[in-house]
Amino acid sequence: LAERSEKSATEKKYLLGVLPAEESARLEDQYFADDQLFEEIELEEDELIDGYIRKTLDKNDRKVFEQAMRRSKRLNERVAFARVLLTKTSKQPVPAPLPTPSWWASIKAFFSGPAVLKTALATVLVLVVVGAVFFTVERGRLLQESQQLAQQRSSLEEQRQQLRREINEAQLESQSLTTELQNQKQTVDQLKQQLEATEQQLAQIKPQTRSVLPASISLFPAGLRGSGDIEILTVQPDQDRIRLELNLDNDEYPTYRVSIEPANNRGPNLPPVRAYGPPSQRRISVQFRSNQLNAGDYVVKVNGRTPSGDYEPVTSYRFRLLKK
Amino acid sequence: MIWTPTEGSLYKLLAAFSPDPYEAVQAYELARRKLVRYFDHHVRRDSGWCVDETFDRAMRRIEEGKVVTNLMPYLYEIARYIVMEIIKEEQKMSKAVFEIPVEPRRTQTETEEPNPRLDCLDRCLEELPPESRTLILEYYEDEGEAKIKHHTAMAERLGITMNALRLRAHRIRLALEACVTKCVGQVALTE
Repeated sequence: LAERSEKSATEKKYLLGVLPAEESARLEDQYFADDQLFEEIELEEDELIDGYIRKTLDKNDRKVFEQAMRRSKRLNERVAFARVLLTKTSKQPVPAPLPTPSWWASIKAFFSGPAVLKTALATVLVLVVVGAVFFTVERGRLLQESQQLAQQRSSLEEQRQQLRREINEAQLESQSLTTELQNQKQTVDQLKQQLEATEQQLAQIKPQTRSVLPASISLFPAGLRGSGDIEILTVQPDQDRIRLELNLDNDEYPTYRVSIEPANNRGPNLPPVRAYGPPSQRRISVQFRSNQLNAGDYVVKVNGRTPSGDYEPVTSYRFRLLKK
Repeated sequence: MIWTPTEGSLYKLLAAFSPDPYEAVQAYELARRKLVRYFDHHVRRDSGWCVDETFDRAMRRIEEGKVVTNLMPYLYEIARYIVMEIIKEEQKMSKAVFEIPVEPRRTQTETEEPNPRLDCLDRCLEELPPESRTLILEYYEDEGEAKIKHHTAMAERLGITMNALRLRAHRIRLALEACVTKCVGQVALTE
């Protein structure tokens, strides 16, 4: 804090123009190299300006600040801006600046002093008038020269402004092109995503549309029908899938495992399934490739998963597979 | 032959600040602010002219093929030369003409005339993003102890340090000030 406060005092002196030349030069070296320090100096100036407007600067600082204002057009502009900003934002009224006495009022005050002073001051005034005449003539000459220079400068300035405008326009155009490019990129990305999704859907649909319906059979638990009864499932040469609809007496398990014997060892590895359908007609459905089973008789065993995670036998089905 | 800056030379200057156009413009603006302050401190001549002269000389040297790896110190070096030149010139002039004190400028509130700055400020505040507008209006609301308390509360609410809040308010103020200065200039041109 102490270090910051010391820095702040140095910056303030610099801004008021009362920092010794060597220290000023050191500070300038530093702020040209250090952006953060430069911003601190700018902040310090904001505070000086606000203090001046709010009349919170001490008498000495105020006097020095006014001297700095006399030297700097920029500082005058900043003070004028800060005055409107603080008028706009402040809850309390911002004190108005002390009116500067007009030149006529100053002259009146000048002659209202004591008689001895009047004579002395009148002599000085005469000298000033003579000097002013000389000065006016000399100034006219210099003015002419400076007008010529001003004209040259104004044409150069115009050229510079034109260039700045062109640069701004080019930058705006470049920004707009960048935005357009980004939009187009986004559109392309979206289209790519849509294309991928469509291709995936297509890939899922294709096998189904390519093949004919699977060879299906609806089976009831063994023993429900007579022992001589065996359901026959005939697989046509173009049917590459088999679907078994296994009707349940009771649906008491969350999931079921289905195995097919005697072909189970090299037959389909069927994942656990859930029952579906209305309460009176609960059933499970399994589907697998038809080339996984040869023609022959099969027993389908269904096991249900108990709360402990084990599977226990539920029921079994029989069917005969014929291949054409 | 008088050398004049071209669009190409300005692009080269910006590229010497940074290859990224946005960063280059930011660095250019910061360099301008530093130079304005430097000249304002050393010479009475319009600091805007001095800054332009500094950039012109840098642009010219870069266009001539000088490779500048760190532009800011280079600009500072040019600025110091320009100050020396101006001081020499002023010394010559002061032998011929005695110095004319600069009249303190009358600010708008001293007169009864309408203040274009106020209208411009309103216009520029409208152009600010809403959160910046709220921040700047709130930041300067209070004075003294109330101000400190208010700023502490604001910093807490925004989840930033007091110093970050000061900087944020300062940057908005600078942008607002630049906008008002530009607007006042345009008003003066149309009148």
